[in-house]
Amino acid sequence: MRTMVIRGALRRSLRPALVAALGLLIVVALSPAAGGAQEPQQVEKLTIATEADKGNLTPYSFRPPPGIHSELTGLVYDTLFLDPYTEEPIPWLATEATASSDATTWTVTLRDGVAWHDGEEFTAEDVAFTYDYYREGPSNRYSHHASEVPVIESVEALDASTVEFTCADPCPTLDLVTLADLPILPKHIWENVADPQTYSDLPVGTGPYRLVEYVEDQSYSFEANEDYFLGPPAVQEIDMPIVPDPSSMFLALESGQVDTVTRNVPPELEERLEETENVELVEGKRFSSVFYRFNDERPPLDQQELRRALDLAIDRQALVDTVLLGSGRVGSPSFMHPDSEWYRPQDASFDPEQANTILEDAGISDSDGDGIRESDGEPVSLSIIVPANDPQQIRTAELITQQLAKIGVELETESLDPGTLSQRQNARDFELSSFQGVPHLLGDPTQMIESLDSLLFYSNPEYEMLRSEWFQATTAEQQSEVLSEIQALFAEDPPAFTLYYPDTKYAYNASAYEGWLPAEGHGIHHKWSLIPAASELMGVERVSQITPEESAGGGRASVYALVGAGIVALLALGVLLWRRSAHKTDEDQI
Amino acid sequence: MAQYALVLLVALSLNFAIPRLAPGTPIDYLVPSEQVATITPEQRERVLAQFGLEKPLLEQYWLYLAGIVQGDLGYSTQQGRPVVDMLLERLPWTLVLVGGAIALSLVIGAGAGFLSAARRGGQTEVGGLVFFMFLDSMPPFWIGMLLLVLFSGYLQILPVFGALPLTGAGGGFGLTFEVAQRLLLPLLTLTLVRAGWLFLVARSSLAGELSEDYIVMAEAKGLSRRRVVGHGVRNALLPLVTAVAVEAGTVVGGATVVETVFSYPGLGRLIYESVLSRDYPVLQGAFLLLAVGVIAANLLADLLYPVIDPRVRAEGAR
Repeated sequence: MRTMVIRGALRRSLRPALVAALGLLIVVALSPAAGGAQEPQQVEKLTIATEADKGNLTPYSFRPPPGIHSELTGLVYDTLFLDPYTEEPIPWLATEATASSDATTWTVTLRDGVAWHDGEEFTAEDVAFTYDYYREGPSNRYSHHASEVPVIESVEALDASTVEFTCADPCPTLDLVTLADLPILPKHIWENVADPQTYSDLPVGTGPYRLVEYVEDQSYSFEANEDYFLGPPAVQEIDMPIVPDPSSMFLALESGQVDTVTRNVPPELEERLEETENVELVEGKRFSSVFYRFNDERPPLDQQELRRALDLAIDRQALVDTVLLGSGRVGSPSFMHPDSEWYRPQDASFDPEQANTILEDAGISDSDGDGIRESDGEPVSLSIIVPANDPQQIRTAELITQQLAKIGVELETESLDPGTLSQRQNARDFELSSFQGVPHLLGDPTQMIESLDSLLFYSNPEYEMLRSEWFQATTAEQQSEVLSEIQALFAEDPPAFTLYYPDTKYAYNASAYEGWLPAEGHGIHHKWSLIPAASELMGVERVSQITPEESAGGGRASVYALVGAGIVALLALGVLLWRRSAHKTDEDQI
Repeated sequence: MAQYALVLLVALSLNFAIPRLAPGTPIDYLVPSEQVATITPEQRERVLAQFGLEKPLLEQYWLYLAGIVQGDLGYSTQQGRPVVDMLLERLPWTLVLVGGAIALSLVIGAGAGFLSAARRGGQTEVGGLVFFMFLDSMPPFWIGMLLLVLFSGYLQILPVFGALPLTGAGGGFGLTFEVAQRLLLPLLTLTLVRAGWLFLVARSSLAGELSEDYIVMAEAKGLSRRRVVGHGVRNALLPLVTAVAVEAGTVVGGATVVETVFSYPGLGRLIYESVLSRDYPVLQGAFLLLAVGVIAANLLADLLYPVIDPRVRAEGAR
């Protein structure tokens, strides 16, 4: 493989390679071991390619994946606490939050001296307004966390820097999750917005960046907010071209036209990118999964035995090995992401033998000998709907079809365009449906509780009991305990089949910026990567601090050594050829 | 002319109906899926009402027609902006890209096709035929990707994405240069894709003409080979004009893939994105533009015919 690198490099072109190699050798000789950087470097400008247009980046411009939305809106808007996926609440726009003993009333103190991008002062009025707007206004990605789980009954500005939240039930994770999730809007602007869905002005927030230009389907341009309350961001300007095609996107990175891309590195590209000069890869720890929803209202899927057998017949390790080329983890019945604080480990078992036994015992057997079992006289032939624009999910479904055939269950894949797919999912018009888990769904316990009802239609007596316990819990620890009991239920009766958690590697040009900060749940493209103070606040290391350990420097040095050796060999070859041809001319002359 | 008006009305009606016949509604796209089930019917109504989608179909149809007459195509459900603005932003890029590709591919494809027909049977001709058939059978995204890898990845002389530089191009010559630089590869891709097909049309058309009696006559008169072929070329132009006019709309749609590969802000991508999000107003507007474009192209072809072919002129006079 190493020799392939060299040959590839040589093939590219000889003269530039020589020059480059010389330059490299000098650089290697001169540069001290990287790392140990305390502060992120200051950079004039970064160009980040993103894969999809996300509107004018207000909380209302949400669009379904692909692409990152909350990370982009987070550049402009801030939340009261840092982020819903942290272990402890980390103050952000708020400095402190204290709950009443029954955890229904919270008093939140806000940071002083924070200003909106337009110069107006940020006050408690803005916070109260925002939560009311989310609660009562048109629905968006955030609104149900003010109106459903938890139910916030009232928000009141006690004075300019104190807000009081009152929940209908105890809400012990208000500071940890809810207040860390919902972006705060400026009252003086949004009180005049009649219809947020058609609001197309550039957003005004308190965040570290101002969106200064948005060209639909083409690009975003951000400028640093020098007056940011945590100090000026590390990068002055961000250009963000929208590059929908994955191949073009990674080509732009390889040719140095962009400094990083927001798309995960597909497993098949990893090796090539690792060999690209200056390009480094880092695991971004974004929460992602692929899971199958099932419709337990439709026979034969209404039989728990059949669902259990299907779950047992899926060889998740084979999916990870084949579809993800090993870059991922097998799915767990716990549903949540293994890196989430709320995840309680549960192992999915793969046991087709037991699946067969369960089916036989339940009377679902192959009576006519055609290889497909029958249930109530009907062959167990299921269909799964998958998004036509996601080859990975289609490949997964094909593999599962083969796996289920071994227990006598037929599965047919129906790939649909995203519009039709979401319509059928929303109308529950499917038997099985392939679904991509987003961070919000896999790491936020309040979303989990809500999704069990509204997305997964999970219901059984034990769960109902635990659910009401969850709503009565008055401390985060109690909630966590109930949630682990709920996850324990999933081992026998899962709300969905989680197939795998793909790794989420990101590629960046290390010579452009090394302040990237892999934040659990988010990847590396978010404001914390650009705010000097964030690394310490979050207790997370930047890539400039972690790369030396991870990608063994020795390995890289030996690649350089090999390249050097190659160059020497090449020079020798050149001299040889030159001498031979010189020889020839001599002979000709004779 | 009345014929064209009727065609236009039918096109407008289909335009209204087809997006609505497809399964799915804008709301399935406007609201995150993990949340759709929690939306109350009132909230749903409210979202639909913002775009006039709660009204009865007939009323929507009437409003749609009235809007077109007034030059108002409504608001995008996705962007919340007037559809007319969005189309006008995209149109210049499409005109440059698609118009340029049609013109270039006509010159290259038809030129080579005529040349090939004139030298039928020769070795170079067979080589040309194989080459253009090869071009014709290659998928556009693949040609685009190859060009990108070559010029942007390997030689690193051309940008990978966009139509305009992100910042700092200034104006005047510098900007023109930047725009031209970014246009080059998508234009080349689309031209190559189209040229293969036009080559085949032109070649077979001229080959057919060259076996006609009047050619034998011309040869018998002792005209030079050049003039003989010239006779045939004029007649062979007719099918080409038709082909270009009929295909004008397809090219815009066909440009979608090329626009995606090069992140180019043309109409094709807008249509594609709007289909995904079931953005009815934008779809209606874009297809209206396409329908008008195709009808105009056909009208132009009809007007061109008499200029090229005196026989049509004579018939018209009779």
